Amino acid sequence: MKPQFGVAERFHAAAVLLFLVAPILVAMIVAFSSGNRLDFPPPGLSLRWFGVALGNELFIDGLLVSLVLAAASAVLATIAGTGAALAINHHRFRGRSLVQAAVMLPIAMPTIVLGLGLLFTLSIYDMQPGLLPTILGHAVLGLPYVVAMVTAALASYDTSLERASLNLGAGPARTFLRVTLPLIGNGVVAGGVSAFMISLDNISLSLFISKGDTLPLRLMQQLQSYADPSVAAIATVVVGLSAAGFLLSLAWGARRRRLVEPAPPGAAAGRPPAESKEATA
Amino acid sequence: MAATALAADAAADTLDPAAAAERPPVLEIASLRKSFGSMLALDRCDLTLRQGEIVALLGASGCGKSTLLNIIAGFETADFGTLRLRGALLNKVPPHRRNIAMVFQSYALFPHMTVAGNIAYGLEVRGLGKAEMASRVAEMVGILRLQGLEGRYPQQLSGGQRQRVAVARALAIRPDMLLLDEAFSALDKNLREETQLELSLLLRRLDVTTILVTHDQREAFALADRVAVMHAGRIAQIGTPEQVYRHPATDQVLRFLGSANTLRGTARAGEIRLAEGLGYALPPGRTVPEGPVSVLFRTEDAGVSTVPTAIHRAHPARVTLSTFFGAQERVVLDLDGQQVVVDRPVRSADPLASLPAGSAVFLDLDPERCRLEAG
Amino acid sequence: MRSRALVPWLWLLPAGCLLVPFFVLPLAVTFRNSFWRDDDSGVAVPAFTFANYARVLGDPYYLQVFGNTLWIALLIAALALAIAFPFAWLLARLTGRAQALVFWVVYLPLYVSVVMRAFGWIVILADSGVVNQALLAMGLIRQPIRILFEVEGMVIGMLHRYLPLMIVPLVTALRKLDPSLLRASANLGAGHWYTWRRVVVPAALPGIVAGTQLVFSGVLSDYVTPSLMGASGYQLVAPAIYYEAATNSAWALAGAMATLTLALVSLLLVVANALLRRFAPWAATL
Repeated sequence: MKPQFGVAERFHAAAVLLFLVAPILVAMIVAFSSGNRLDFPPPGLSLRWFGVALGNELFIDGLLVSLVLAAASAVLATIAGTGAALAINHHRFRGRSLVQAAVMLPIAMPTIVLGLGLLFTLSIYDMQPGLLPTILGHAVLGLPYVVAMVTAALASYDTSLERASLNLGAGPARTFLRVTLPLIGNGVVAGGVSAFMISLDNISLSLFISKGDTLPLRLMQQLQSYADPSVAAIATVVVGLSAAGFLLSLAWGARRRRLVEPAPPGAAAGRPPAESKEATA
Repeated sequence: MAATALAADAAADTLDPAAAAERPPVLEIASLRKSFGSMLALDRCDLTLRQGEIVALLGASGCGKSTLLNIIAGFETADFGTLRLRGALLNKVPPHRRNIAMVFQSYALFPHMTVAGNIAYGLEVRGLGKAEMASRVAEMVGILRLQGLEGRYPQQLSGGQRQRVAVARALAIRPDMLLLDEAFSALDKNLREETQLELSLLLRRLDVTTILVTHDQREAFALADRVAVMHAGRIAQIGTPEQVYRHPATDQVLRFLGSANTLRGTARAGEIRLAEGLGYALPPGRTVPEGPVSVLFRTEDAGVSTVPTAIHRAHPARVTLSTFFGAQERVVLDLDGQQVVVDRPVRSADPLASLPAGSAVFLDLDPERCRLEAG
Repeated sequence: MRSRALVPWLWLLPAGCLLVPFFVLPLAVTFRNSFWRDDDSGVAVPAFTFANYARVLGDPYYLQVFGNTLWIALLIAALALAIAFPFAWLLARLTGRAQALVFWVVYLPLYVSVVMRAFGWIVILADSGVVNQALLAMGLIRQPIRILFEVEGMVIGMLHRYLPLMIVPLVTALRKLDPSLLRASANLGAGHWYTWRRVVVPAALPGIVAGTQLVFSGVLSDYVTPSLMGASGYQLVAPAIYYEAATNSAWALAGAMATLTLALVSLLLVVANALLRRFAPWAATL
């Protein structure tokens, strides 16, 4: 039975999609404007604002700081989040549901409160606002996303695979590296990418505990004082970098997914039926 | 025809109990106990397997058979009792150092490894050289007829092929013993019976000591030298399929193997009365306290006839329903308000081949084949 | 075996090392500092007082800030839910390439800098922006209408920012709905609306709760959108907290405001989960 979609439903969906992409598209187009102001449609196309943006030391420094920050916090969040997801999904222990709630809490808690709290707390650890506390703070924000994505990957993962590996003589460490990690790899990568993006876009936390030198903070200052298309240009560069990274990870994931997607009969709910038919044929 | 010939071969291969007793014990389990919280999953389990023996753990779900298997594999630890493999204490050995291979119910084939990769996994772990590994994999591929599939991934295989890969992977490590956990339940009926026969022959040829866990009586009987019927965490009875079937030690064993009737009656003056009127004479030497009794008997241990065959054995009844099953016919009778199920062979010349509902018949019951219990 | 019981805690160790000192403790310290007193020299001194709370809950300015924020949060959550539900229902039933593509668009805003999104809205909503130009050209208006730097503009910006956070949990919940349940419902005689009300909406409940929580806590802690698109006369709590802390050096007061914000979010979490437990016990997770 193929689902039926009504006219109103389609129209609504198209409107939502348009709403979601409109400001992004508009900003990107203005980045290529040849005019001086934020006119839309732009009087002509040029790369001049990219030149301005890339010549702006504040932007370039900010971009570098933000990339280092995002990479470091994503690594921390990925390690901590993968461990937590495995503990929660593979083990039954006292306080499990409490731990489960606790690791997801940073998503639900207002970031601005955490930012202020971190600023209060830094002196206890003898730290000054700067890169290190910002990395740690962003890692906290990324953690629940990693947990969620690794948990999703573990949902289609048969724990008897680990038993099989142990049963065949592989120790716990080898079992983790050879069986668990390859099979949840997509979830781990997706979680890491999410943590990276969360950090790259964060303002509420960086506001308090960074030196004000991350790219989003600098873009915001620029937009508040003098809005010109160079803000859109540098943001478009970041989008381009993310897209390149995303496509790379997608290609890598697609190559692996063909091999890794488990096909236990009856557990193939989320996949198109054609694929599962192929698997059993 | 071919199948029966093969079955005869298998029967010839089956260990003669006397010879088996002389072979060295492989697995010895003594007074094993395991509880999950307040639930007692295993209660004083004892079991010994000798070299090459195949034992089936048979029982309904929740009887403790999977717990026992998991303890043997090392995935669970027993609260009490000992577990020995070739004389060495196994209780504290982690699962990956036990050399007891298992075929999982889901097969648990690594989806990111090929057939060959799956089979080689346990060998790789054991540090075998490339050449030896390749020859061992090739050997297993040959034995389990997986030629041409070595480079495929599990999700590209049929159910039967997956099962054979799981067996190949388990046997490749040359385990001290093999555990089969409902290893046939994912296959459909015809394939299942064919695979059972094939595996039974293979395990005997390779002399693999095996425990299989199943809730399917046919599967247990088809593969095992001995069947252990489990109930409520204990081994209720262990013996050859014929022993446990013909001489069930407890009511649970009788009820679990085949299908059985339970009738209520009264014992009085050396007779069992199932209803007003006629009674069955107790066989010589059997006594039951006077009063209410339950009468247990297998559905194939009673007969139906249109005329009373023996005056003290036949009881008038009425047919409620009769169903044709090919070689067998199942007749449901109403005996003064109690329901009795009788399975009887269908003979083509039988004038009773079809009994319409409402027919008046007689239930022939041999008291020798009944279990009687007061209460 | 005792060592086995330790294994999960070993896996949890890195998360604990991150969360205890950099999540739990900061929130606790914020709570503690909210009872301190702001010194004239711009430092909070340890002296137990309810003065900060008295000020926040007594001063009409701060009450207005919290009132504004709650109203906007409720508005955004309600709008997002109303828009996202039919969309998520369609997305959940799409398959293959179409679903992947739509998902990609839904996730797109999450992967684009919030400053860039605000920039796009500024271009669209400004007095000389796309919307006003279009309306002027169509002759519907004579004077540009002011959307940007008003509550309306901020609401549009926030809706754009938080809509995906409502769509994603809804789709996740709706995808778990077994299509055969719809057939079963129809087979039992239920019409479209009845099935929607008795089968689809209950299945979506966990998603509705999760999405509402995400949107709510997002709005409460949104600093960027009100700063870039909002009206100067319409203060929200996140910029206010930052202003008190960074500009006024009223740390303890900021702490009290933050604690109240935290309390609001926690209250929503508790109430939502209590409601879920009461009305959808099969879906309660927390």
